[in-house]
Amino acid sequence: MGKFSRDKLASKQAVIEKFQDGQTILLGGFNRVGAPGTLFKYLHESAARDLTLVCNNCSNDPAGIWYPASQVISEGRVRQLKISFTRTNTELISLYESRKLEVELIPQGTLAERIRAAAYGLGGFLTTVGYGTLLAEGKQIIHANGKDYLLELPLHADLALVKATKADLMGNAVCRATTKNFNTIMAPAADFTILEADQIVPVGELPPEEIDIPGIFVDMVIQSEEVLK
Amino acid sequence: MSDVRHFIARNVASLLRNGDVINLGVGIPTLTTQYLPDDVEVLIQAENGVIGCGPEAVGEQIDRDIIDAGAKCITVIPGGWFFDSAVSFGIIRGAHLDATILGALQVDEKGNLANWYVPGKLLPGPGGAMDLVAGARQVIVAMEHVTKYGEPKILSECTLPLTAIGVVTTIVTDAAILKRAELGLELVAIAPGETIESVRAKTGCPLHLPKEGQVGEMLQ
Repeated sequence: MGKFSRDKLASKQAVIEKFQDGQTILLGGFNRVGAPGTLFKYLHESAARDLTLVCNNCSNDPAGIWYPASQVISEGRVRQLKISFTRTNTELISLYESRKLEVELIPQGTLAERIRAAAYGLGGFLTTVGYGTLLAEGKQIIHANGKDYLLELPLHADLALVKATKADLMGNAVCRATTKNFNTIMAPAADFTILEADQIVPVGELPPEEIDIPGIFVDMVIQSEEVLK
Repeated sequence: MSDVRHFIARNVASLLRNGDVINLGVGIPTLTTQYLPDDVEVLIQAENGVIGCGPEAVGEQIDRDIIDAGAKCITVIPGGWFFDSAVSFGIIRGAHLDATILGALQVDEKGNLANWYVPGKLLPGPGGAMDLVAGARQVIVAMEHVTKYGEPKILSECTLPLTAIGVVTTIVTDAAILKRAELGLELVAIAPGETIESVRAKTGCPLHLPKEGQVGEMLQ
């Protein structure tokens, strides 16, 4: 199936059916900003388990937008978490120590670039970030141009859940201000991408030069249920 | 020196030059901008995706889509710019920043930095800490000279897990300003009330005197 459709608007049920056991899922957002909270709820409502979740952070504050995603972890449905910033989730340490959860800690910029490498067909990249630290364990070191680098490999996923401020029915989307964060990088990095938008507009309404996420990276569009403003 | 944190921030500010593009870590570094001289204007990056960070947003300025890396609602100055995390860390790793200013648990004379992980305390998440020190021309550590138990934080070799190796260029504390030189750490300036010997006494590695000129005095 091609990535071009003039109507990608999807129902909650259609979204929930996309969640399958064993998937690797990218979760957009930096803290509360640009986080697809409605899609987190749908993920939580699905029965999918044995998941690998990839995100910058995942707060378990019951009042916060990340709470449903953090509950998927608490319920033991996540096998591995690939994450950069852990301090906003107070449960991770006990889940990790009781071996109920594998955690891969990834420096934030390396996380972004590994996802980008997967999105854009690169076999990996060389970086000095993390070299000489605990996070270099098990990684291949490559000497080039007089420097030692870590080889970082692409981080591909089955699903990406991303958030935009506005989207049209083709999936073209605008992420205003600091909501871009991981959303624009994750959208092209998964086999199937579901985009949640605060506002959905007809095709042709968004100025082409202002598009942050091109529609060809998006498979489904849903209306956000979050009312934050 | 009523407030040590502000004293450190004022002295960090004195190291910045007009036109610098900088990234500020949480804590003492964020106090730095209050102490910039009138003729020094800097552009502040936040790694979640903005350059041109202004003061914290208040009242009607608050826009929930505009935060800094500490998740605080901020304003953005005219000429500011938003971007995604790949661009943001490209700016950082690609040496497009003049300075990164951040706190530390330990620094050693080889410029090694430990600021992300105290074993046994928390599941450590590095966030952007490892990336932030990878490319900036100056990595300025702003911290208290000793721990709350009086133990040195500036050592011959860090004992805590490292954030990065050989990256720190300058250390500003409540007792001294130190610069990394060929031989190790060089004493650039000392705080009012300190002597070279008193600073050496609370430092866990040798401190060298400048090859030329004298040890200066920090701004009060």
